[in-house]
Amino acid sequence: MRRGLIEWSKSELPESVFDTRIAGMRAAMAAAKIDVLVAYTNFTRTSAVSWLCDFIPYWSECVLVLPKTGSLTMVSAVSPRGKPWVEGTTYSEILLFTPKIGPETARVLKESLPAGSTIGVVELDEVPAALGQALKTTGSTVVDATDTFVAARAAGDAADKGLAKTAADFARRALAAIDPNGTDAMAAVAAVDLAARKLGAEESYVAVAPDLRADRRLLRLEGPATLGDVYALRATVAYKGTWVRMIRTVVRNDSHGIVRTATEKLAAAVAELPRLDKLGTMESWLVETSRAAQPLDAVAGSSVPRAEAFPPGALVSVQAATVIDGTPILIGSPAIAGSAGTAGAFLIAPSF
Amino acid sequence: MKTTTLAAERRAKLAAKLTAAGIDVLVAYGNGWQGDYLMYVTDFPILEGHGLAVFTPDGACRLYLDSASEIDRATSETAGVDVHFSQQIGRDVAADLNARGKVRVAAAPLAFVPFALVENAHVTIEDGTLIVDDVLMHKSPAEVACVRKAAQTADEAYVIFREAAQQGRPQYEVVAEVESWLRAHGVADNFMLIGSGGTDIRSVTPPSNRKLADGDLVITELTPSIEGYFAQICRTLVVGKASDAQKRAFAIYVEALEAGIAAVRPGVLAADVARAENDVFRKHGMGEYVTSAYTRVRGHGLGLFADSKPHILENVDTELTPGMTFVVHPNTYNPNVGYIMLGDSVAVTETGCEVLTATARVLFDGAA
Repeated sequence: MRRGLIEWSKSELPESVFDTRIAGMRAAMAAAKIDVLVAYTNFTRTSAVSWLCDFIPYWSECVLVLPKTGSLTMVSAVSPRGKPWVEGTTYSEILLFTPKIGPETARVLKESLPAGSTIGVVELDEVPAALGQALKTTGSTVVDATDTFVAARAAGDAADKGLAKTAADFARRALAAIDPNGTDAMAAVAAVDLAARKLGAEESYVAVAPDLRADRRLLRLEGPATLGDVYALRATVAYKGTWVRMIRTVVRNDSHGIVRTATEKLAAAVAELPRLDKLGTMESWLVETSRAAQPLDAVAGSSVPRAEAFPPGALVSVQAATVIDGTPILIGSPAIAGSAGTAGAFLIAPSF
Repeated sequence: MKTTTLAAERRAKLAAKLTAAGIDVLVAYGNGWQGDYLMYVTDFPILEGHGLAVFTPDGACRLYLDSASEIDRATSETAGVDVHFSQQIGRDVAADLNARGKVRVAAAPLAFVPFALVENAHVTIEDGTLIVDDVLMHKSPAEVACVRKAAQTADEAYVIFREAAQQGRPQYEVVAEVESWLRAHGVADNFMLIGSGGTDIRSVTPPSNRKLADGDLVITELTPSIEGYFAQICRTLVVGKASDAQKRAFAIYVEALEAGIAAVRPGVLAADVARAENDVFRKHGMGEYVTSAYTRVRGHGLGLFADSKPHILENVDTELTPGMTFVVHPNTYNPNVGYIMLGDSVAVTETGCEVLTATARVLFDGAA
């Protein structure tokens, strides 16, 4: 359940942005011989649909149908009483409300598609079984359209970059709200959460490693914990459908500038992106980006078995662990991969 | 921190149910919207991506997650669960099942498991939703205790909500204050909707940037969780001083809530509770406003999901039994003043009903 501010900002995402994205997607569909694109969205797999029409379900689930010509249709399991809210947050022109979105989507497709048509589904493997099985009843050929979607979305557009930069700014300011001398982990988490939401974040997840010398895992707190001499918090912040992560490690009495050294090390690795050589020298590391439906999809990392390519200029969130002078440090920041002679860089430097 | 004994108790109860049903393997699905099936099996409150658990009646449990950032949490927050990161969980779980040979497999909820699972599994996967629904609904005393604690937290959080709901503040700032208070008190999750205004408001939604104005009804359902168990409070307040019309309207909802709660006892049906609430509205000439055009349910189950079974509706014939927990909420639109919310969490006891939330059933206003 989203508890942050969800609204369609037409200054940051004017309708012309969606016109351009949809035109590009239709060109990719034509090249792949796909007659209609189907994208599923729910609470956690929001990215493909929000990229095409802004809409993010605050709960429940929906399907977006993008034909090669004509209007977008959204089939929504949100109660019809939520129609004004859905209308106010989506570029889609036709809205249908039903608790059974699979059969209703299949009906729409059956009625609109001629024989021999091809339905392309973004992340076909991952959609609910009930939807996948309903699509098989349409009589059309059902194919996975993830590669088509990813290719059309590519590294994102200027609107994507603007939203990511704002989200990164929110994350940095939220993490700056920590009292570095405090010892109450719950208070630190609360401060980050409050700052992010008051800035207008759509969502805020705060994880904490209260004592990095004992355990480097970032956890969601469900009770009191004391912050040790070295601790870290990670802010995962969503803004208008764009998600980023940033990590702040606090070393008490950091007279040798250990955190700064670690940050410079990460900056050097980020400068090489999309090459991963320097990140690979970190103790552990992870690169996430939004390719299709997942807002933050692991594309490479020390524990990611199958690396996925991400293009030059891609918006990513990078996390890494390193040890400086015997002190464990977690660092992370949203970044943009290098392209055409431009080095990769943090969107906002994770400096506090 | 979470108690591992509760997780072990749940798994033992589920294992017995599966054995009785002749099911060899249960696959439980969950995501950050609805994670109760997955949570029951694994004790993992999933936030990002989606997950599948493969559970057998001998107690063995494998958890597949497709968000790399969830792996650390899962390894830390669960016990006795074998955690795997998977970039294709449907296919990986299908392979897991296929390696087990000829077994009876059920999935819960089957409709939501990834399509690749049903497409690639060599066995027919049965729908195990009702098996898990049964254990989700019928809670042990330890589970009810968690809901009771969550209800106390809901009462405390509503005090914060009242303090935050000041004229001129945007809705999202009010919710931010409540969320932050909950985080400061170790409450990891909360389901919450809000609305503010007058007769223009037909439902609650996530918070908008609409500012609270003098005379607005401010409605919320606030649903914190303790150890994964949710309890809910629904209340309405007025910014400034409540009008006579708002007070008269609110009195009907108090009567309906009291009627609904009075109907709760073992042996009655969910429908009986809904009917008791709705009869009050019908008596006051508001029968139209208890239909689906204006309201969704007259209450719903509470537990490892904030909106679980049974739904309190006049066509739901689920029998109430001790250990069931739910919210009774006659929330609906009132054509004279707008949408009003009022609801309390309850537990069915051996002899009747325990009301878990304790906040006064009054229309709070600036004069309260």
